[in-house]
Amino acid sequence: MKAFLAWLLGAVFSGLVWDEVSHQFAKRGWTRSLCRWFIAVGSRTMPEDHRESYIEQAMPEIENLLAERRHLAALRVGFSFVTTLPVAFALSDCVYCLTAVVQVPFYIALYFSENSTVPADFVMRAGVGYFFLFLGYGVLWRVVGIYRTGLMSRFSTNGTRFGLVPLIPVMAMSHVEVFLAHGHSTMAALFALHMLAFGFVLFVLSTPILSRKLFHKA
Amino acid sequence: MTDINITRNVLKVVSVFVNNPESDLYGLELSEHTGIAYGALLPLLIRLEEAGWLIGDWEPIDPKVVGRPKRKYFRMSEDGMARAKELVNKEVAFLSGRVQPV
Repeated sequence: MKAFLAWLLGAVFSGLVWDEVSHQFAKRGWTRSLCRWFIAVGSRTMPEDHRESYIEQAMPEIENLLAERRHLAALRVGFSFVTTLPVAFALSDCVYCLTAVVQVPFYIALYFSENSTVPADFVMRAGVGYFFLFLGYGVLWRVVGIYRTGLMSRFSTNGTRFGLVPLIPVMAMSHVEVFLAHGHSTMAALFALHMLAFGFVLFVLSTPILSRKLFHKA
Repeated sequence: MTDINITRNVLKVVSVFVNNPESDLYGLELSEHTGIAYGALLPLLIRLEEAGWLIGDWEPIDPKVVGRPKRKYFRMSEDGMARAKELVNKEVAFLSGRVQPV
């Protein structure tokens, strides 16, 4: 009974606190600014001639919700612009791209490691080749995709979902094995953790069902 | 009126209008009726409006007097409604195995 009452008090209190916090947030115009930013980001995946329309039509809905003190609903509506599938995929592609670039230091570190027994040319070939492969494919197609029409996003989303996500465990293991085989267990562990974290983010963002469940309330 | 790619979301939107032929609906209302998140719905509404399926009009209010911004309301065009009924009937026939006029 005590636990239930404690829970109930906690729920009421956190509800009151949340209500006041969201009211203060809205009073300072932060909710409105945040929603406007969400809509601007989301509209980037749409055809250029539509972008003005999105903001023009979406902001009144946000304003009306704020006027009704439905701050959470306003945030949810604004946030829904960045959790549409094209944006989620485009963002996941950006994450992938950035992560590909982050992997390069691992190779550089391996190359310059004092105790390394890995042939220098192997490291250079692997690192440089990897870097340019993902730089070429990733940056040019995926980051640019955010600023182009939805077609670009759709191209990159399918590439991510069907081409690259399944490859992540394979790529990760082959690299971890190289590090382990040459006595770099710390680096192997860091690399594996990094790939796990990246893989998880990419998986969540690029899987439509999961994205919807996580970001869109019923 | 031009044809567009008929997706599940398009069907959801047009069936709301078919079931409410006399009503003008705004974006959030449609989002609630269809269950489609507003961020995903708005591009669809703009596409349907451009294709001539929907007609969008801003509310004839003075925001300063009413104290809130104007909303854009949507209704189906005549051709849009005819095409929408065709689609809904086809979908119903597919699901139930017989045609039921709307």
